[in-house]
Amino acid sequence: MAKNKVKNWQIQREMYYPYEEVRPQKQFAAVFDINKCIACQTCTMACKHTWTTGKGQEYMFWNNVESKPYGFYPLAWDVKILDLLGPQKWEGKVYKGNTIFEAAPKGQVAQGYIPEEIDWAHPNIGEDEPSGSIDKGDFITMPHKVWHFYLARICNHCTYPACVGACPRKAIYKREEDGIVLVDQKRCRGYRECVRACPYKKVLFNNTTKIAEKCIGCYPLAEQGHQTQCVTTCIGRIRLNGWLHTPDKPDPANPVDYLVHIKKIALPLYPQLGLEPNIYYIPPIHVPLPYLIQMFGPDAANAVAAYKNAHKDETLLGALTLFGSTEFWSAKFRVSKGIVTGYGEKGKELVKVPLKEPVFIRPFHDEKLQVYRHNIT
Amino acid sequence: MRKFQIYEDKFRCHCEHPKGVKQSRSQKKDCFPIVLSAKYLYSFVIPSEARNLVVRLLRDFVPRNDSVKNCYGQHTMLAMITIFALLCFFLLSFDAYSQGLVVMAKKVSGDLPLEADNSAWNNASAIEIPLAPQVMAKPRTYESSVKNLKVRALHNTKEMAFLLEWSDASEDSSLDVDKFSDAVALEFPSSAAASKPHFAMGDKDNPVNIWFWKASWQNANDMHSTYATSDEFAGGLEVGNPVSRARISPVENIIAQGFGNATDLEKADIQNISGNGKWQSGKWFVVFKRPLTSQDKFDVVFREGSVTPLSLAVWNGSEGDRGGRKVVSTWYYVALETEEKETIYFYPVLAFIGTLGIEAGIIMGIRRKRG
Repeated sequence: MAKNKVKNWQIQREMYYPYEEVRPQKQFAAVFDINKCIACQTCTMACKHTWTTGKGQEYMFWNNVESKPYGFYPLAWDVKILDLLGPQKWEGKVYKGNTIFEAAPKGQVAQGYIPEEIDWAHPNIGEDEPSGSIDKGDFITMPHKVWHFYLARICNHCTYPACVGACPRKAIYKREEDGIVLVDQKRCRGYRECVRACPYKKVLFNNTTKIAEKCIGCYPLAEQGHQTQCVTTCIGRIRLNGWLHTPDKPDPANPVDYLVHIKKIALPLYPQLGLEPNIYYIPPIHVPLPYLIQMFGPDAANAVAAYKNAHKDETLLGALTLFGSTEFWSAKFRVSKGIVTGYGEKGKELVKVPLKEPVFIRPFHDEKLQVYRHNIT
Repeated sequence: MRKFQIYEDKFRCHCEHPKGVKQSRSQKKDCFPIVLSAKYLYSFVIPSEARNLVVRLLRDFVPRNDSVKNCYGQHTMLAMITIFALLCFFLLSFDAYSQGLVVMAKKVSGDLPLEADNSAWNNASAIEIPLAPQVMAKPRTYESSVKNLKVRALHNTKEMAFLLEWSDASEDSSLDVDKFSDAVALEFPSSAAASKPHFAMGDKDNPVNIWFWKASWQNANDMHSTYATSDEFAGGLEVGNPVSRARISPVENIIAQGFGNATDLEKADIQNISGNGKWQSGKWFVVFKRPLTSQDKFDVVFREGSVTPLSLAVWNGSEGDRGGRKVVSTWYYVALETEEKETIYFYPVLAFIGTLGIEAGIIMGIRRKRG
């Protein structure tokens, strides 16, 4: 397996990867707005009911929502890989440290580890655990001194998947048509090299079928132009699926391109690991910047500022309003006269949503029905 | 060293003809290449002590005489003794070497055992094969506690059986996310191979046939725990992944054409390799059994009296071994003992006596000439 230099735009440099740079025709991507997530786990259950109800999948969650900084699934997944990598450095927007491929131990494809069985046994461990203890009176001071937030996670369908690179049987592949990463259920022999290599720990071992399984990006839905189960069922409307272009040719009318490349408000999860993950997060605005930079890279400060000013930016507001407004993939969007319109791939209008819900004030006493209303809006 | 130089001088002296003695063209021609080859072997191949010994023997054996005739005879003899000694040396050393390279499958009558503790195995002599970590393809292994493995083989003209035995402090026979199974594999060139394959998983034109035994498959609970009924949420089962389906045997029959493409050859209804493994006080004993012949064009075929290349691999689950993380051997051989063993031993002896007779004749002739 010869090592190749590939371009990773998220770390603004070339890096080593076991295979050549081959980008799919379209790249499956999604934006998750962390600020709106309430960890209701509807996405988790939607995914579970759709895909992982089989034997051997009892503790398998392709989608999970964990509390940060102390929630994990599997236990300590991110702090472990960060610890294995050791302190690394960003210089401006260029990552000067080692990716997991560059930090690979002798004879291995990537730096990594296999979690223990028990590490997967508590999918919501550390739920609502804040960053520190709360002193008397702290709860009335603003901003709050302690913080936590909810991190919803699925497979990142990375441009440079570590699972693909590590599989000695080439049993994992990235689909040319949409960039969805899949484990060939017939070819896999359960070596768990992918489980070891994936830093996000989103390839899971099924001890009944004795092979690896992972999030399939709801490809049967994606092929029909439907957004994934976890996206469409989100009651907080924090998610949006979209096809992502590379930053050198972004489409400003594509909502995901707009959020990721134009406004740079949605950021990759641990870009320093070097996989070019394709689930983008709008970072939580109340979390200390050093933590956000560690988790989302050097653009975190700008993203937080842009989000705080979103109410002044009609286009941005329009893109954010599309979240949860349609079950179809919006290829393009347009904002005009306070209304955002989502369009399908062939330009078909999918949905029209007002940026601000119109307010109707009804009288306290309804003459026609002869009733009193307490809720008058 | 000085002593040797003296002897060397003596030879040169014998070779250079005394002044005034005319040498015929034919004599010169005959003498030269023999002297050259003898000297060549003499100076490069044989260590100095041995050389001294040869020279001393020669001196005592051949009476010193300065005639041209004797010079010719002396060198012929020197060359012949050297060549003979070398032949003996190679024959003996190859024999000794091959003792460690060839697993002799002892021919027995009756059914072959599937249990390691069967007394039939006492008939077979074991050879110990060293194993080294697999470093050819990623992921590589550099350290392992498994250093070698003992092989015994039996056949009864219809079936072939191997007993493999190696030390492993822990019995790892159940799988978990972070738990791997002990395993062992026998590898042979596939019948479909054009020539002898690369020992490491074969190559594109030369596939290998692998018999793969896994402790987790041997483990009865594990064998039956697999969800045997169809379930659309058990992807591996649904698409018929051989790793996922319920095991009918702890052994898998595999074909491989290089790293990363081992393919299960089994059809659900055909199971021609049987296997049985047992872990006892720090040691695994695994038996493989299969008919000598097979219907599948990829399967290795054994014949009585023939020699088949064989290599081995061991996985230690507790050290995280799986897939390419393993210890391996290069090619060894398995020979199937045959009835006509008397003839096998008779011909070399006959050849040996024949050669000896011819040599003796020549030497006698030379001596007679000299006398």
